[in-house]
Amino acid sequence: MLALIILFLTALVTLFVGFAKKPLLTLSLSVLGLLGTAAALICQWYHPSDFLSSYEGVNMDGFAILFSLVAIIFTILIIFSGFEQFKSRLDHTADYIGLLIFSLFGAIVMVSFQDMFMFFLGLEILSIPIYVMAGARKDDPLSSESSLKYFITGAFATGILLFGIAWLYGATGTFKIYEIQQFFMEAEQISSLAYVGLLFILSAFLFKIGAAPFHFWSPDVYDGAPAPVTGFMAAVVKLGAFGAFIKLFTIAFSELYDFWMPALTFLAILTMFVGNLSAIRQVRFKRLLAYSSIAHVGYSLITMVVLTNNSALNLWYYLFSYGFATIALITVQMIVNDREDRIEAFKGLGRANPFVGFVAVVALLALAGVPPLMGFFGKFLIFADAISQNPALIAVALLNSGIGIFYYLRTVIVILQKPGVDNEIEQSEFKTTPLQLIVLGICVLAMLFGGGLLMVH
Amino acid sequence: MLRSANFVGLLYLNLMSDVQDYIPIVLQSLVVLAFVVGTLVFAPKLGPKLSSAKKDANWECGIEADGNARFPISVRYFVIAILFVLFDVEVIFFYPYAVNFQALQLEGLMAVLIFVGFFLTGFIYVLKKGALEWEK
Amino acid sequence: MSVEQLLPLVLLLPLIGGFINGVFGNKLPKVVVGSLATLLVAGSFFIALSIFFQLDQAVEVKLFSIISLPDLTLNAKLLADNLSIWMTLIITGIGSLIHLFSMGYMSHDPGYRKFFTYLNLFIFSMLILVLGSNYFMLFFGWEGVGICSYLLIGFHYADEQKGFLNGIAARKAFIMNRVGDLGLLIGLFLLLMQFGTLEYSEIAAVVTAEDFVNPTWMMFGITMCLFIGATGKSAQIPLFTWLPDAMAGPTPVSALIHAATMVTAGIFLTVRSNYLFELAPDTQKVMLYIGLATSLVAAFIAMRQNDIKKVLAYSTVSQLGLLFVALGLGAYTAAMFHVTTHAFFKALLFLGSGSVIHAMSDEQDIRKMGGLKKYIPVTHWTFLIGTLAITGFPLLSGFYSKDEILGYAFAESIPLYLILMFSVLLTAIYMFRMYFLVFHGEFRGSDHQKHHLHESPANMTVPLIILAILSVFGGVLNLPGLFLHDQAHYMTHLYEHNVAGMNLIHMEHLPSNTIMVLMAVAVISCLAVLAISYQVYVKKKSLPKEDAQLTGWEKVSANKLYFDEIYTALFVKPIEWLSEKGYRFFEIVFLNGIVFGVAKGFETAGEVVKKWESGRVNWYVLWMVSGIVGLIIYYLVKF
Repeated sequence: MLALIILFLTALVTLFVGFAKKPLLTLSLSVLGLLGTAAALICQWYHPSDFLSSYEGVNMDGFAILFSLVAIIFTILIIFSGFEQFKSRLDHTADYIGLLIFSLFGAIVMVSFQDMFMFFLGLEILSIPIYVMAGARKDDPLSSESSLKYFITGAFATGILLFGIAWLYGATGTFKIYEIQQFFMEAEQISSLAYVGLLFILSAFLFKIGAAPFHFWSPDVYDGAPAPVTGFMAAVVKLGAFGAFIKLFTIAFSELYDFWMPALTFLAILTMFVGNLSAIRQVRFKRLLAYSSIAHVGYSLITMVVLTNNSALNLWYYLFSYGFATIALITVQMIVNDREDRIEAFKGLGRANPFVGFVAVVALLALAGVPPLMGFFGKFLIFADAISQNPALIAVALLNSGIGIFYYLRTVIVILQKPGVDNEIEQSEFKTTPLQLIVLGICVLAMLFGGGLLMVH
Repeated sequence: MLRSANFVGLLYLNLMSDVQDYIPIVLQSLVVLAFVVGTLVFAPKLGPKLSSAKKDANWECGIEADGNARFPISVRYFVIAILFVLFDVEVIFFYPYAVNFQALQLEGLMAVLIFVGFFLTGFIYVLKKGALEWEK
Repeated sequence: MSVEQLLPLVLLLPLIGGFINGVFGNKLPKVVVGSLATLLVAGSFFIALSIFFQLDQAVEVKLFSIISLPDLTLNAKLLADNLSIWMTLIITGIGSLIHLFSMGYMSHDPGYRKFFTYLNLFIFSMLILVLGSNYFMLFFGWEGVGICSYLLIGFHYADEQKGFLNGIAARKAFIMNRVGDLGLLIGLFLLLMQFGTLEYSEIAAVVTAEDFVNPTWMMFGITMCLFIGATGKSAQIPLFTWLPDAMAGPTPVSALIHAATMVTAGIFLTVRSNYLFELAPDTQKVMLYIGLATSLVAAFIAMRQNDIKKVLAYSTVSQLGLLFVALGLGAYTAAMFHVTTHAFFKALLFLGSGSVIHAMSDEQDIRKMGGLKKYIPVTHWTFLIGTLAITGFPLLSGFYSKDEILGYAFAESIPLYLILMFSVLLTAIYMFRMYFLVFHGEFRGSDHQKHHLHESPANMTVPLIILAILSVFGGVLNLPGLFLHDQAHYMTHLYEHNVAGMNLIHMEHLPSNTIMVLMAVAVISCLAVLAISYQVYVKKKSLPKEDAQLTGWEKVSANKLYFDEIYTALFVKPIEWLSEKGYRFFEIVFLNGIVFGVAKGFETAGEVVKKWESGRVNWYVLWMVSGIVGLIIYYLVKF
């Protein structure tokens, strides 16, 4: 709870500091607050006590702390890398950062909830700032479009979710997830209300994480939203949604595993194929990232499908590795800064700015799952965990990884090419800021040596 | 036992134990439906009918309809409208609190103070942001 | 320091040398590059020497684990027993001498740094091969030396005149070795299948246990596969033709790789696996006959070769054949003894030939030499010692080791002995022929070459002298019982001590009278050949004929028994035909169809799936609704 309070106050302070119109001050205060939140979480890890222990809606258990810490790290990285853009609208700098922090707040609530009520609140706190942020570039029609699309589909999904929660409540008579679990364990006969409610909740989750066929919003929204927001959606929102997903389904719905597992298996396969196949022919970088993220959702869903003792940690590690790669790529995209966001604009990056090119290549290879990068270990953990239970699914996943390598490598090749001579695409200057370089440095270190984390757990 | 029934039938079966409770509601629904449909169908038939161009206009208030309904309105209308709704909702929360003021004691007061505090912060933010200034 | 600590150092030093020279070599002066490489290998030698004197039992050192699975564990583990350390001593000892020699020989070469990098890497790979404690490490080293040998044979690939041919020779060596490697690899898989492990000690423990039932066919399969591997690396029929061609590499390489060390890998493999071969007598028979045939064929071909290095190359093949005869007879220590002495005198001969070639301004044809003894005296004397040693001149090292093998052959059967004796005679004949043609008579080269004749610098002659001394006295290492009763057969005792399986194999000794007779025969035949050769080449000044004038057996010998032509007709042509047809039908129609078809399929699918993303939000919501409806239908179907 302490962490949540600190985080909330940080967001408030950030908003008000914004009136001073000193971006650096805003940045440093907000990052300080985020670090304070992280510190509070770490304290919580070592001394699991809480001064508001009577409150049962949220519980900062180990699971929640792990997911929250990663979310905080990602948020800091994204604020750093997007700072240049935030700064350009002086009167809104603090709003951007504050909204991101509010959204992070929602994400943390989502991974630490204990009842459906808090869960729903968390989801809304997570989503609403993002609806706004997606439209942050007010003069850009694409941005407004993405915001509107996200809002409409999101509102629809929220409605479905609430509907589902209501049905579930109707069936079980409780909001608390452990009581729901208890109910399913003891119930002699489970009402169909519960099943339908579960499916509705599942649909809402699939929407949030962007799994087929609920993924359609994500390419448009990723494409239209400002780059830092895209990164935030890919890294933090996904993390929060997945955290809540696995928590809810491993606790509340664990007894109904046999019911939802086949459906999820099918959707995981569908998601992988849709993501990878659509990505093959993309020419815009953020759309490529969007589809790649859909494909990665497919791989992540495998942890849910097989559900072993390691699932939560594997998922965590996978999202951790995925987040670093995505944030690195988003940062690189901001550095390239092509107005139309063409992949072609990356041409010559490797020669013009070797470090940035190197990071981009490493990140793409990490997404493709090339050893010894962190992305490989993430995939490996998931696949190794699932192979004995569901070899066919892993075969499909491997096939998809193969397809994935194609478009990642194609982008790598573009990056490594000589700067083009055709005048159609004017060369970007590849301007970097120190903060972006820090982000890239952290990301590349994580991707190169993140495999070492496995030694710890 | 439920597994072979179809969806609708299944809902029905599930609710069967207390289905008689719903009979009044069903009856009332039928009555409402019959009333609405009946009024709509029979009213024009029963009364005399005089029609003129003015009467057939879909918005008749004595002023000639002019121009298009879809013209841009300043975004400030919406900002103020939505702020009104927000603070209106805040006020709504006071009603249940007022009723339970005694029962909730000091803890309730603190909670409400924090709640109002947040709203106040929001209000200050709105003011500082200049959202309520009509002309800027 | 203990053996455990020293052992990894032996391996590490050449690797460090290779690394430094490979990475920073361009920035270092030549002297540093050469001396660094040489000193590190010499350092390895001295460490190995100290291990050799400390060693009283086999020591295993685990470096790290390569693969660890429930059914399969592969460790990077080193094994120090007398066999591996003995080989290490030969490799690093002769290796460092050859490094020293190369510093002089390669001094004008632009690829100086690259050369020493490769040499060090070669030593490293060879050390892995012999020091590994399992077949996997052996295989690793095996492939490593294969690659280094490829790189070194084709070292002068950019040469204007012979670069192309050098490249071809390197490729030939590599491909032929691959055939053998495949055999070895299959052997390893069979071993894994049979024993579930590749560790020497574990396999030996299983095999030598009293209740071990010999799976005859399996053993035959395993040992045959290992032997096929050995024929590749040790140049036996049918995979020997690469070795003479490998002489395209710089001469120190020929000395190091194609005479002293790499080609003995096959011998090492067989000795290492002695307990397996003892269980497969059929393989031993095959080995015996293959070795015999190789020895004869190579000696026959060497009779009419005119390239100084080719003669030595065929002599190497012939000697290796002799070694396989010994292995086929189960005379493992005798084989190791001959490996050792052969390493001494063959390295000496090759380096000597290198010195000759150096003096002759890169001329290799013995028809253009002659009378060199007064121009390059040190080379001449050391070369003479090498020649005498290889021909089995009394009291030189080759005499003891060769006679040991001949003795075992005699004990097996008299016809075998006679054939082997014939091969030894041939060896003496072509070696003396070459010696006399090169060093006696008139100088037959051009004036330009004559003008340039000079003795090699000290860093080339010193290794020659050291090797000459070793060639003279190397026989002491394993004196037959006839001479020294107490210390006799030193190596036999050495290996019985702690080399797996070796204490089980005891060769019977011939009665000493017989040995005396055999020795006398050997001495007489050697001296007779020497006398006749002297008559023919020095007194009568007979010279080799031109290629066109050769007839009968000489023509066959000069054309290498037409082995290359036969192989071309038997293997190359059919394979080329097959691959041509395969390319036309299999590759273009079938594979391309599949590969491009799959790619095309995915692209098309991508195009289709991409279209779903219409950009219209009402469609998106519709899709979501259909998703929910689908889920509910799933629910209805499921219950």
